[in-house]
This record gives sequence, C-alpha cells and structure tokens, in this order.
Amino acid sequence: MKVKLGVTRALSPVFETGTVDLTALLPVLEQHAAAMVDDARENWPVDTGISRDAWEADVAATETTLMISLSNDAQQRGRTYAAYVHRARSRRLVYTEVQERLTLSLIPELQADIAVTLAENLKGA
Amino acid sequence: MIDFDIKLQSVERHLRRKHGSRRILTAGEFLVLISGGQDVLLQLREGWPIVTGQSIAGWDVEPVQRPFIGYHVTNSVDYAQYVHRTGEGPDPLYTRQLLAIRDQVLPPIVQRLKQTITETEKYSQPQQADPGIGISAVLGQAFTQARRLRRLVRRR
Repeated sequence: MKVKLGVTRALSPVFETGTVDLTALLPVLEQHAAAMVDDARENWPVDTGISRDAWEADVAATETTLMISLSNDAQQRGRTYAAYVHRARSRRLVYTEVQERLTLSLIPELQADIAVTLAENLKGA
Repeated sequence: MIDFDIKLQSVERHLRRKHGSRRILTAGEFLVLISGGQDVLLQLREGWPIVTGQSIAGWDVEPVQRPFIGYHVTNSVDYAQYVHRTGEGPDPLYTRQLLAIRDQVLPPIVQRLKQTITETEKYSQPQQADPGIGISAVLGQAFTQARRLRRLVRRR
C-alpha cells in the first residue's frame, strides 16, 4: 500500500476578494514542499533506502486552490509497501510519525508563511 | 471518526466591540489562532495510546475564520471515538481531552487573541496626537508583531 498524506485547509477569506494571485505563492509552496520531503526522509528508517528516497511532493496553485501532495509509492516485487514500514521491535507505522509532524508543525508553518507573504504583498500593492 | 467545532465566541464579541463590526483577522491575529491550534492538537495527543499510531496521527485541528472564529477538529480514523487507555473507560478518551481543552488550553488562547486584536486596533487607529508616527511605522509595528508570532508557530 502506498502512502498519500492529505490535509485540507480553507483559504483565508482574504482570498475571496479575488484580487490575490495564488500563483504568486508558488515559491512559498515549493519551499515548504521541499522541507516536508526532507523531514519525511530524515526520520525514515533505512534498510535498502528505497522507501526513504521514494518520498515526493507535488505542488499546484490555481486561482482558487493551493495544494501540496506528499506521497510515497516505494515498490518491491511490484507492490507498494511504504504504509507498512515500521521500526524494529515496534508496531508503530512510521508514516504516522510523518503525518503527526505535518499536522503539528509543518502545515501551521506553511499557513503562517502564506498569511505573512500575503500581508506583505498587500502592503506592497 | 470524530468531527466537531470549537467556537471562540468571546473573541468574536471582542473583535466586534473593538472594530465596530466583524472583520477578517489580520496576519498577526491569524498566527495567534494557528499557534493556539497547535496547543489544542498537543492536548488531544497528550496521553493518547499508541499501537500502530494511526489514531493519534489522525488528529487534525484547522484554524477557522468563517463562519466562526475557532477551530475545526477532526480525527478521520474510523475507531478514534472508541479509543481509551488500558484499564480505563467506558468513556472515550477524547471526551476527557475536550474538558481539558475547554478548561486549560482555550483560556490562554482566547486571552492572547483578544490582546492581539486590541493591539491591532490600537495601531490601525488614525494617529492624530503624534505626527511622528506615520502609516509606515504603523505597518512596521504590525509586521514586527507578525514575525514575532511566526517564530512562535515555528518553535513547536
């Protein structure tokens, strides 16, 4: 089974004015997506390194949506297995640790950066 | 599956009183809301039993500005509402966490939010008495506040 982590956040009502170009936030998204992949890889247990290296992020920004998709579809013998990875002598699935860090730190940091970047752009406008 | 809202009604009242009407939160105020969401999430995870880790990782706290100011709390794992510690129960653990959130976690968040709103409104008032404080100084103070709060979010 592959891992695909998704968390949805409603955009601030500021975005509803229609005057904000979401594509301008693409660099912020890319920077955070890279940090999320680094975080997932850094704390991932390594045997062959296949599943650690398989973490990747997709970034997309349209007029109404910002998206970072974090996934891991590491395969061995034709089967995806990242969702079953655990440390020796532990039943804890390691992807849940990645998910915990995402919701506690990485996503709030992203939201904070979007809010501040947006405010700075409005200030400059 | 757990899904509920936390509405910070006293914050909404405070905002209306200070601003005169309902408005969108500024970046600085929103950062306080985000930081409070981290506190709520930490409390939900506090003492939560871990076997596979799926139900503890399933907790999510989304800061909300509309239609209310507060948080949308979910746990998407289908058995999360039945989780309790070994030897405890039958009351589900999350109901106890909710009481701790209401009594211990939310009051400081509400206080911080009210303070920040008061500060924002103070700085956004027209400066008549002191001609030395211009709009750039006011914006500068607001962004210093936002940066300070962003560091607060990062420190978790």
